[in-house]
Amino acid sequence: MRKDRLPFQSVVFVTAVERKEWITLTVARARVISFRLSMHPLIGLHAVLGELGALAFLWVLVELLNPTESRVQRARIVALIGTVMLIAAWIVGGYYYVTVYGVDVKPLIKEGPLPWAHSVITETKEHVFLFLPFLAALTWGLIERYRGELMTNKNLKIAIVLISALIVLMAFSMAGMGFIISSGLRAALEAKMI
Amino acid sequence: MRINATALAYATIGVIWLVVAMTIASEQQESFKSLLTAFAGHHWVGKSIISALAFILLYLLMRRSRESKNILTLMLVVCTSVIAGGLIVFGFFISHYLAG
Repeated sequence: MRKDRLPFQSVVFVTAVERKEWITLTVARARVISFRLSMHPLIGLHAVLGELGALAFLWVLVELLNPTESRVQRARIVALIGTVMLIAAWIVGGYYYVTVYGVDVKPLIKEGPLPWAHSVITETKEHVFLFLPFLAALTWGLIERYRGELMTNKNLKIAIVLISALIVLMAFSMAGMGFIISSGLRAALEAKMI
Repeated sequence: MRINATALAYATIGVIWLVVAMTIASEQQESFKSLLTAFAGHHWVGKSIISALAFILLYLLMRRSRESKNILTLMLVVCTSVIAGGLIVFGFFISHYLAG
């Protein structure tokens, strides 16, 4: 029987089957830890609030494509809800970032095979996200200020639709960046355990 | 109280560029990062608090200004600021990462 050894590991395998089983088991363990870290309840809540905020502004955009008095009234309420959602996503995400991510996740990603997932993607996400609550407040403020003129003034309508579309695109790009960061963590854990 | 949309737009533009400036300054100047950390416990929390305060302050300072007649142009400036600011931050962190 041939003795086998994985690089950088002290584990000695007797058979190829044993080696394969060990790899399967360690990858599974890495995935469980990765799931616990990246599927933290706070990050789930942050993502849900952010996506609800994005959907709210998608709703605003649709209502204002052909505005009537009732549609403007709905857009006004939904924009306010969307703004509150994005502010809540800011607070929840910030709390997670400071208390969990910076302590447990960031060092792992930086030591892993995709360190740019933190150095470029997280750093960009955490700062560009700061634009979103202000853009949301601006959109709500515009609807509130011009609610009586939106049915007749085409330029105002286009202006609010434009900002709403920007919020939707930015919020969904935040979700995409979140996926890359989670992938960076998974890759780091798998590399660490194998 | 009636909202001044022009003041709100200028406050948003101001905050976007303030975030971009604080982001780059905190990476380039360790003393600025330490100052933000000393102020709020974490540099990102410091930036968040300063952004929120700046937004309120800028709006209050400009709320009596005359409303712009061309809100669409103003919103195009907001969109351009967001896209340019976002790309500057992204580009900065790419170059920072590549520089090691």
